Amino acid sequence: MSEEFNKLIVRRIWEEVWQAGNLAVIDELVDSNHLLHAYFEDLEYGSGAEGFKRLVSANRAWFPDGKLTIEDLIAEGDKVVTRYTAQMTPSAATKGIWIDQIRDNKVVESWVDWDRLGLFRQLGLIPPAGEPTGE
Amino acid sequence: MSSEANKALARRIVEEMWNTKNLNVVDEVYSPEFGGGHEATKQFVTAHLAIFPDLHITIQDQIAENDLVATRYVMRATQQREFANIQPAGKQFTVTGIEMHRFADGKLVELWNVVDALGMLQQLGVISK
Repeated sequence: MSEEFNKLIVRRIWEEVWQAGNLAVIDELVDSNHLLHAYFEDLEYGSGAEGFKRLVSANRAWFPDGKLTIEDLIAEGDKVVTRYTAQMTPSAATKGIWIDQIRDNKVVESWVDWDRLGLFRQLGLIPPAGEPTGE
Repeated sequence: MSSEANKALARRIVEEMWNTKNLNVVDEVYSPEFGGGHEATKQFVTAHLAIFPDLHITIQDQIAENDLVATRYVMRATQQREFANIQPAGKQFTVTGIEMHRFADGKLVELWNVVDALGMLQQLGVISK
């Protein structure tokens, strides 16, 4: 399928699943054997489409008023990249970049890095000390 | 510039500048308006390379469209000098990251980098897991 169609699939997951909480869309757009590459906090919900549902449910339970903004959405070949920012609570925000690989109109594999240090500090889970490295 | 050319520029920043420590890449690839200018960028890079002399970034994947390039990488380094109030203990870390570069006319104009800074601080021994 085209890169533009793949972007539409990923956009639907952000808007209909993460933002609106419609978990049935995961069955439609995420492969049952989906493989997620993420931090351990995100992997403890298990793999596959069912793990993805548990991950989304847990996030929405933690942050029921979370608001996600897609800042950039690009595609090349069978991959789509999303750069996002997210207001998790009125006083805590985070950001991240996802890469999704799509086969036969379903996401089969995803890689994510997100600013968990920044979020955990804003939530008071980690004392504010030290600075992250970067370019 | 084509997406393929932009990918090559992003790769030069990672492999020639960070890994090989060739600061000429700043003059050749960075816009003069980026991040306070070429000298400020060189000072930033030099300072980090002094703290982490063996810094090595391995590119795992690149995806590009129009003026944007996403680069997924693994970064490893050993801390040899004080960094962000952390005393050096010769500890090594290995973390993942994904960055997005935006180029205009063959020059870097914007950068968004998401690296696992928490994983880094945990492996440097300043935040418990």
